Amino acid sequence: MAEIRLEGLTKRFPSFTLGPIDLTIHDNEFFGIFGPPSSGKTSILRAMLGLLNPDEGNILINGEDVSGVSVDRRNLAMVFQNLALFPHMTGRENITFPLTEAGLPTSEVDSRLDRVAEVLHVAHILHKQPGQMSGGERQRIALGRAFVREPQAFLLDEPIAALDARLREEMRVELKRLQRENDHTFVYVSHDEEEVLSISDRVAILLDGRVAQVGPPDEIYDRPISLAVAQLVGSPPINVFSCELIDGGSKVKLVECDLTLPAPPQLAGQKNISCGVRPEHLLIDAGQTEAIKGTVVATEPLGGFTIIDASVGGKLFKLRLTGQPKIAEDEVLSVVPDPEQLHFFGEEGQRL
Amino acid sequence: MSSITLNAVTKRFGDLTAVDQLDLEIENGAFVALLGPSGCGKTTTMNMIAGIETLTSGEILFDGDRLSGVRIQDRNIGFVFQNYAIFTHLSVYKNLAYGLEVRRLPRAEIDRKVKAMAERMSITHRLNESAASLSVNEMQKLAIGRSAVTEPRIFLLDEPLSNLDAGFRAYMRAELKVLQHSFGQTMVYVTHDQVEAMSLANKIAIIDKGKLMQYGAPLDVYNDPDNRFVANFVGSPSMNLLDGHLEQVGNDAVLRLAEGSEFPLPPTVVAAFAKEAGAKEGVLGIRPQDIYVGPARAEDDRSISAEVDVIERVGPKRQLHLRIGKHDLRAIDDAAEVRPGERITVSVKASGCLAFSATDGRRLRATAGGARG
Repeated sequence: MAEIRLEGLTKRFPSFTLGPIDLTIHDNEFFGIFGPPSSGKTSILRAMLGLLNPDEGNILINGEDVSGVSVDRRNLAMVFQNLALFPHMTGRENITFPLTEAGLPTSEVDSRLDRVAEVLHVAHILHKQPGQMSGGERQRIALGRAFVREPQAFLLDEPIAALDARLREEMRVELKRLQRENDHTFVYVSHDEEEVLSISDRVAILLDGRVAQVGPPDEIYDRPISLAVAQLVGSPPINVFSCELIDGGSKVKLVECDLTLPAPPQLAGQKNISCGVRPEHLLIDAGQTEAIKGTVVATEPLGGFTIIDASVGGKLFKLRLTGQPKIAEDEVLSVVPDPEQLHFFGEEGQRL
Repeated sequence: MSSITLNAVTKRFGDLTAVDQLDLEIENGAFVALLGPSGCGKTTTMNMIAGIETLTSGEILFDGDRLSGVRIQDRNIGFVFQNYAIFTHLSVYKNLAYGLEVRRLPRAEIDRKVKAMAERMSITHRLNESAASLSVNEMQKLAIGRSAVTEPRIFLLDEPLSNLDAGFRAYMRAELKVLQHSFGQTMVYVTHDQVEAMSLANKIAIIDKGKLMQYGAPLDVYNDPDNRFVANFVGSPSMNLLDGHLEQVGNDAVLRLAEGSEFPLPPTVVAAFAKEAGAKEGVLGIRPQDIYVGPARAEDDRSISAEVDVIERVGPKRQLHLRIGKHDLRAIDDAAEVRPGERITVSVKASGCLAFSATDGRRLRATAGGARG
């Protein structure tokens, strides 16, 4: 098991620079890396694994610089999105391949296989070829091939992105359970924010090749460090209104929706302020006179909750209401933001 | 505009029955989602509607007419596939115009329609660029626009959003809804993602192993599933389904789970299980939203002790994975302050408990036609 540390990791590509990146992934941690497509997520994993030589900076595994260490000696296992299973081999052969290749004695191979098969619940499919397995079963075999090597850490690159939505929900809890029960170090890359935030102990948000924020999922969701992070995390995305300070800075007006709120002290002297409110923090309150008068444009009833698209002053915004409220299109709603849940951002997008 | 009727449609590939006696009535102007897991037969069904695939038996009627003799290109059906089929060697304009040129429309009319569609899809500024220069997201937008511009009477979409990233997917969902609103076409939408189906469609046909499991409005299917499969497939996070023996312990009815734990049953569910005479086993279904931390808050609610296993953040909510014996029970309760490893009391809402048959997964209802219970 391992601690992985990146110090000033930099890699320059013709049209894109990754880094400098400083990150520490703790021993036994489930560490998520999340960012939009082409933000450099996979490149970080490839650098850790040794498939990509950084231009600058160091990678330390358990405190030891691995710059000159080849891929096979770093003892990290990677699981890819497209699994890369051998189609002509059985589940058993696929899992044990790295061991037989390394020339381990049969008894050792068998005992490791038994252990992995029990942990991953794959004993019943070991005789099948990948073509005869379901998506979830293939996924477990691919994990098995990584597990059987007993690596210091696991690097997972969108390992469940190719599965059906429902299966993905089941597999991600399964992964979390595996990691916890076996005290593994997992570095998990995905472009699905719900997935990363749901299972990671800590998450690094990657934007344009740089780490924008690192922290536990709750912290990233509840206290995004910048407007860009706030907009990246959360579905449906956060509503953003532009703001003006009025009454000598004692009040702040959300321009598009013509709503005036008391201004918190940190807004003093700031320009081009914007205010973010998550869809679940907009509440319907008919009794309030100071409220956003939003006209309902569309409703998406999703069973456990309902998403409402409403418009005010030509701007669309979204609400996420619990349950199945009866709300009709063209209805005018009185909406108030939860005062405890407002996010203000300054001119540069920094959190105020 | 067109209605579509499927009568006992069956498709076999050798020994495999991909679609099995499927009946479906798609009304004129409806937005219907065919929803199911990979390999359930939803795409095969759509291909048969399109005329790409022949039927082994059964019939498909359009506005009451058989079209079996009509060539695909004359059926006036628009397609959008997962892998956006666009001509990358042509300009965006040419891509949009293609379907209209094939139909030999006057040049002025083609120009008007192409420009109107480009406006709608907000790609006007890229009309003269090569389609190959578009991003993945824009390509899919173009693929949809290219189909929509010919104003087909039926629009078939096969997982058109599954290659897009999450944010753009949400945006395209809204866009598709607007498109259907303004054109009023009959739309058939294939997806494995129940969120997509729920948010887009007027009606959802849930298919498993080639069979129609339920057909109805999104909320009806969610609130009142006909069987275990639908209960499990629709709704996110998914419904808890517990298998066990129906027993009486003192005055209380319980479901005895495989390893011995007793799960107490509310009276409504007991009445529903009683509908299946002599049944010794049953399946209890409860949505995570209908479970809360703490002792029962209503007379008919039932409580049980559980251990907190994993806590997941699902969007703005916190999902608790609880252990009852060896069983996983998922609950959504934001108010609760709990930690992994802790032993807590949780309660289930009586109104949220559904009963299913252990033999065939059929829903058991206490009263005939009752919405819940």
